[in-house]
Amino acid sequence: MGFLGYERPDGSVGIRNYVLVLPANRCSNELAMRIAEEVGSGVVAAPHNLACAHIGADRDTALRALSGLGFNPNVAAILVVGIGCEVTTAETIAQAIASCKKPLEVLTIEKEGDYQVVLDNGVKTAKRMLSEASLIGRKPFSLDHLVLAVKCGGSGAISAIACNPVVGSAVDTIINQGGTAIFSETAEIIGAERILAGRAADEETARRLYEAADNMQSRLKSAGVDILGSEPTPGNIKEGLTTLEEKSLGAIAKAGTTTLMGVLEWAERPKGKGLFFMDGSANSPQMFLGLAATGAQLITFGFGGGLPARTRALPASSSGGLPILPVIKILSNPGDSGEKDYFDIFLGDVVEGKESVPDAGRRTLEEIIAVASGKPAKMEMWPRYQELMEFNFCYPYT
Amino acid sequence: MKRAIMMNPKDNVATALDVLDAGDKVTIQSPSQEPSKEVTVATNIPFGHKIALSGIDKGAEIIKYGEVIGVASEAIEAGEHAHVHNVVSARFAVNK
Repeated sequence: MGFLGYERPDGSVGIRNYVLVLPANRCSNELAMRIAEEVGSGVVAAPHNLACAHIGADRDTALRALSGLGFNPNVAAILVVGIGCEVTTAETIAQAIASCKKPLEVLTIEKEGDYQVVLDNGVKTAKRMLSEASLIGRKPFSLDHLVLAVKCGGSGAISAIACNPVVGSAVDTIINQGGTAIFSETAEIIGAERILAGRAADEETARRLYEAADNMQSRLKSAGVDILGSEPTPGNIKEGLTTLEEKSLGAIAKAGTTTLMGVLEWAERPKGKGLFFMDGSANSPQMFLGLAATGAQLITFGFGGGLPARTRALPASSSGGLPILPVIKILSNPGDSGEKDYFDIFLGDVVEGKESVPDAGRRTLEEIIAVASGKPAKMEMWPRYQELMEFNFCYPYT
Repeated sequence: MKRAIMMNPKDNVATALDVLDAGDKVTIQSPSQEPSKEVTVATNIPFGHKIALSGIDKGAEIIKYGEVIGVASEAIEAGEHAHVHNVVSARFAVNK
């Protein structure tokens, strides 16, 4: 079993081949997007919400994530654009990315003189990078080069019967072949910590897992906020989930059954292969940015069904948020078969008892491999809209 | 025949895989789709919601996946709908 991918200078393997225009902070979002739009398909911008108003450890968090975007193997080349007056400049970000050894350039209003010169030179640079990137062809790679992120959303009780165990089955196969899988959403391990810690590779991993869950609860408590205000969501409750513990125990099924090799900070790259947990929010623009920074090549997004599954265009997903992280959408509820054209994988037969979880897991892995090898996911064939990616900021800002 | 799935042999609730109407007989099956017992539905239960497999006392634990997922806030009869109206989290106090 293997897939076709793009080899990068640092040995990582991409499944897409984008030129990334990366704004240093949000003041350069519009400029970055304009450069990308002028050149067109193959060049994408990653507008985000970093501002000079963010301080303290949030700065380090942002730099780690921006650097991670540069390192993401779906990125062939990077153009960082900025003004020159930022707290974290375009040059600083480029320095953090440089060791990925990919084509990398910086353009700032300070050095180029004004906005128009940056725009014109940016377009020229992006076109050149795109031409060079087009010469990199796909080569066959075994599954040990796959890095799959997994998310569930619009969850109902049915998620634990269909999409989550089915994805978990595919994850187990990928891990057994030497590959990597990453799951996140710290609120949704609350109630399942003991089970996950029991699978931890070492004491440190188990400790960090509990710490991540406890930190989230402490933060909410000290802000005087009740987790029950958002977990489970009204959508979850409508679809049969009664408590957060029940939701979490069902959610972890998507991580399969293998050893938990480590707990990552939000946007931290894993140092080895296998199954990892990334601390972070379930909020999509934040989660997708963090996962893209870990080096994940694609993400499966498993839905239970009902109202939450009917948005059609996912927030912050490939077409409109972060094209460098394609999303594979999975639908569980046979009652929502009218929506299945907007999903990549439909699991109604599993719920109806006509298909086993292992068989659906095999079918799901085939789809993951196909999308990895170049087949566009449904959300990659959706009209472009632009949404802001968000960092996992924890501090107040000025 | 209507179905519900019991995620673990220790569970005292199962998840409806069909819309269950009061009076229906439901086959309880395992995750590998093997049927075990039969239960009579006591109250209407929506697709994906939980049915109590036995009587559960007020304050007693609700077991799913072999783990505690909550406690009964009211006494629950066998075959009854178990959800937010009669089950609360064991970990988080509800702010009333």
